[in-house]
Amino acid sequence: MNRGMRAESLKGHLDLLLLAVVADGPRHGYAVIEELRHRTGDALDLPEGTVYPALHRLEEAGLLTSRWDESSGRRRRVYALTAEGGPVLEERRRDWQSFAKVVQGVLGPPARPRSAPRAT
Amino acid sequence: MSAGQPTITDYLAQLRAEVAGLPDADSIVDEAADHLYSTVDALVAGGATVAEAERAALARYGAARTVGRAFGREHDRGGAVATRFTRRAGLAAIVLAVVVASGDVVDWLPHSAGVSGLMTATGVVCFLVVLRGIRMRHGRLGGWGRAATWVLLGSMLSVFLLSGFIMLGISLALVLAGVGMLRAGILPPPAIALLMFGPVVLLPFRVGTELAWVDTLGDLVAGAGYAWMGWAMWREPALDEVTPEGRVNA
Repeated sequence: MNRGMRAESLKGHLDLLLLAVVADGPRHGYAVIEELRHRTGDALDLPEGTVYPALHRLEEAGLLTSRWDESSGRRRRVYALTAEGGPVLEERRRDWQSFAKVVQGVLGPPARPRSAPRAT
Repeated sequence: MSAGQPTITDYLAQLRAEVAGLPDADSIVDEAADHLYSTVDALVAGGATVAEAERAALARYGAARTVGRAFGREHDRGGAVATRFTRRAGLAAIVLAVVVASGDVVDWLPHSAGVSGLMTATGVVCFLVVLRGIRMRHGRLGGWGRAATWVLLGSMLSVFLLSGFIMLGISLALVLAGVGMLRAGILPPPAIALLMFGPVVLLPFRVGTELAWVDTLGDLVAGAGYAWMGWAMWREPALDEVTPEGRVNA
């Protein structure tokens, strides 16, 4: 899969990825996005500012909550998983793992590279 | 920063202009400021100059218009996710369809006052659940939704002045909301069109007349619209659905 196709696949699962990152503990938006970049190996090719609407959407759906923190000297919004968000994330994680197992069962192991023919 | 290069301050001013119409514009800009300055801090700590760090931070964050439009789309759609509640609202819409479509039949039955009362109560409860479910599934409807709300409120107040306006107002509000829903493209357009049929097509026949066939036709068409919409909402997988382990959701 080339980099462009991988990025598009990741975008489709952005909500799940964000929930997984926030599940480790409350983080502010910059930290969430940096962690996402780190875990995806920089494969998520999105303007960082466009990730924030997804965070707001998850908050509106009741899966994340946020609070403003001004202890760092700047107004900073910190996101955390809600009580509803945890089970949803686990459900989605199981779904993904089951799906990956099914697909792997069909695809089988990677093909062995063919050895080059010998010159006679 | 060199002359001609936008600064973070310039960018934030552009972003504020792009999201000016949104209710949480201040929060959006504050969050963007925190992100950009955090990025600059990290890049400077990694060895970049402040000018290089600001340039890189702005490039990574995205153009103000791009980011503003992303927020605008989310705002217009609101939450716009299918949840367990919106699925149940879909069931309520199907029940409402049966109530609306069979209302005239029940009225013909002898001693039907009790049944009719029960059906009316069921219909009202289902209608409120459906409204809430559509609001959650759709989120906000942008300018069309706001216009529909104001027209509805205006028509409610006008009942004290000219009672005839209330039916016209409700119909107009339904049309405005329907156009917003059609533009959003979340729920099936045929279902929305069926629900708008009564206000748009049948209103001229209803005003000042009492034609039984008009009411019956309107109820049957509205019932079909509710059933269609309810089926579509019921079928959507819920974002907050927790199912037994092992089921694969393709």
